[in-house]
Amino acid sequence: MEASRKLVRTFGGMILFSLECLVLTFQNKTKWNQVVEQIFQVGVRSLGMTITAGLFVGAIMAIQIDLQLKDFGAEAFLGGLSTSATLRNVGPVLIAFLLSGKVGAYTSAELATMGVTEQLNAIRLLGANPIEYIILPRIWAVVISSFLLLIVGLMMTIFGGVMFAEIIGVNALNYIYNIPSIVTGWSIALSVVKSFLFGVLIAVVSCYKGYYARGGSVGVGAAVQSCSVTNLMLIILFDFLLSMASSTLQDLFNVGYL
Amino acid sequence: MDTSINENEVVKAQGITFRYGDAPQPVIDLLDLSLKRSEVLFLIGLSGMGKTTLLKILAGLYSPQTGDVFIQGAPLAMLNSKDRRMILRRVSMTFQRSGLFDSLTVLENLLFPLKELTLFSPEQSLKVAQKILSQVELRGSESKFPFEMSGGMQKRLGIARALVLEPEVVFYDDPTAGLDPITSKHIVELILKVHKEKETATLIATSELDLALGVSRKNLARIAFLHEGRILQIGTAEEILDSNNPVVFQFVRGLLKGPLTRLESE
Repeated sequence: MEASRKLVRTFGGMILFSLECLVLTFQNKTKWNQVVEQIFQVGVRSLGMTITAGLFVGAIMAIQIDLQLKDFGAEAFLGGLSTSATLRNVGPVLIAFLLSGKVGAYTSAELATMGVTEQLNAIRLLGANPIEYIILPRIWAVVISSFLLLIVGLMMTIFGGVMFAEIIGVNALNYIYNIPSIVTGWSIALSVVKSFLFGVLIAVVSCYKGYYARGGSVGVGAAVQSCSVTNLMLIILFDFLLSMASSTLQDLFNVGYL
Repeated sequence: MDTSINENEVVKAQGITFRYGDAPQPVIDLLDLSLKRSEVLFLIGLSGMGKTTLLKILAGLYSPQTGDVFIQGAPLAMLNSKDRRMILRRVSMTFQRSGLFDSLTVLENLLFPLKELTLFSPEQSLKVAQKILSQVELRGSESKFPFEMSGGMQKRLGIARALVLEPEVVFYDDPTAGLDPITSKHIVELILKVHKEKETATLIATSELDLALGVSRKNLARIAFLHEGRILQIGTAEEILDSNNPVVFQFVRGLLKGPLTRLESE
C-alpha cells in the first residue's frame, strides 16, 4: 500500500513538474543561452560515447541476425532486417540506456548537489524560481541533446552494421541496397518518435529526481540511483507501449483504415 | 498568544508549528518570536533543536503547518505568490553550507541576483558588486571559484551575496561553524559592521554561547534560547545567565548533568 502510494506520488509529481516546466516555457521564461551552454555540458561531451556505442550496437545486431539468416540462406536480407530491428527497437533503447547513465546521472547528481548544498534555496531566497533559472535550461538541453545524440547514435548503428557486414563477408553495397526494401517510413518515424520520447523521459526523470533530492550526500546517491532505475524502467515501458501502438497503427494503415 | 503586530517588529512568528514529512514530533512547536527593527537577536540552543529550520521558516523557505510569519506586518501564508516574493526580497539569509553557486566565480555569484532581479545596467551591477566585495574584503578574488577559497572567505562571500540586494532583514545560520577563533571573530565583526552601516534587523543562529554573550553585552543584543522547538527564554546576556530554567541553566554553565543530558541519553 505504502509502495503504491509512493509510486503514485512520484509519477504525479513528475507530471506536475513537467507541466510547470511547459507553462514556464510557453511564458517565454527559458534562458536559451544557458540551454546552449548546457547542451555543450551534457550533449557534446557525450558524442564520442554515443558514436562508439552506436557502431557496436549496429555491429552486434549484424552478427546476431546474420547467424539466424545463415540457417535459411537468406544473408541477402541482412542489411534490411538488421537495420530495421536496430532502428525500430534495439538502437533507441540501448542508446537511451547509455544516455540515461551519462546525461541523466550527471544532471540528477548536479541538481541534487545543488539542493543539499542550499544553492537552490539561495535562489528561492533571492525571490527567484529555481525551476526557471536552473531546471528549464537543463531540461531543454537534455531533451535536445538526447534526441540529437539518439539520432546520431542510430545513424552510427547503420554505419556499424555496414562495416561489420564487410568483415563477415557480406558485400557492403548489397547490405546498403537491401536497407530500403525492408526499412520503411514507419521504421524511421518510429525511431524518431522513440528518440524524442526517450529524450523527454531522461530529461524529466533526471531533473525531477535531482531537484527533489534531500538529505546530504546520502540523498545525492539515492537521487542518482533512483534516477537511473526509473529511467531504465520507463524507457522499457514506453518502448513496449510505442511498439504496440506502432504495430496497431501500421496494421490499420495496411488494411486501409488509415 | 499575542496576535497584535507592533510596527517596530519587522519579523514576527506567531504560533508556528513545523514537522518534516510524517515525523511524529514537530521540530518547531507553537513558537512565538519577534525581531525588531535594527536589532541583533541571537538564537542559541543545542544542535538539532530546530535553529536552521526556524530560520528557513522565517525566510519563507518552509511553510509552517500552523501559525504564520509576518514580515513587516504582512502575513506570508495569506499573500499571493507575487506579493510573497516581493515581501521576501526584503529578507536575506546565509546558509550553514554556504549555498554559494559553485559553478560561478566570486563576482558572478554577486552579479547573478543583480542581473536577474534588478533593473541595473551591467556597469551599475559591477559597481555594486565591487563595492560589496570591498566591504567584505574580497577584492582581488573576483575570478576565484568558491571551492578555491577558504571557509572564512566562503562565509564572507555568503554574507556579501546576502547583502547584495540590500535586504532589511538578514538571517545568519551558524556563520562561524567550522572556523578557527580568529576567523570567527572576523566574521562576527563583519556581521556587526554591516548591521551598523545598513541598520538591518539581524538574527544569528549559533551554538556558540560565548559568541552570543560577548556580542550581547557590547551591543545590547537579545538572546533567545531555543529548545525542542520552543523559545524557552529570551532576554539580555545577564537575563540568560541568571535564568532559573533548568535547561537554560545547564546550557549556559555547560554542566554535564541536567535535563539536556538526560534528553540525549534517552
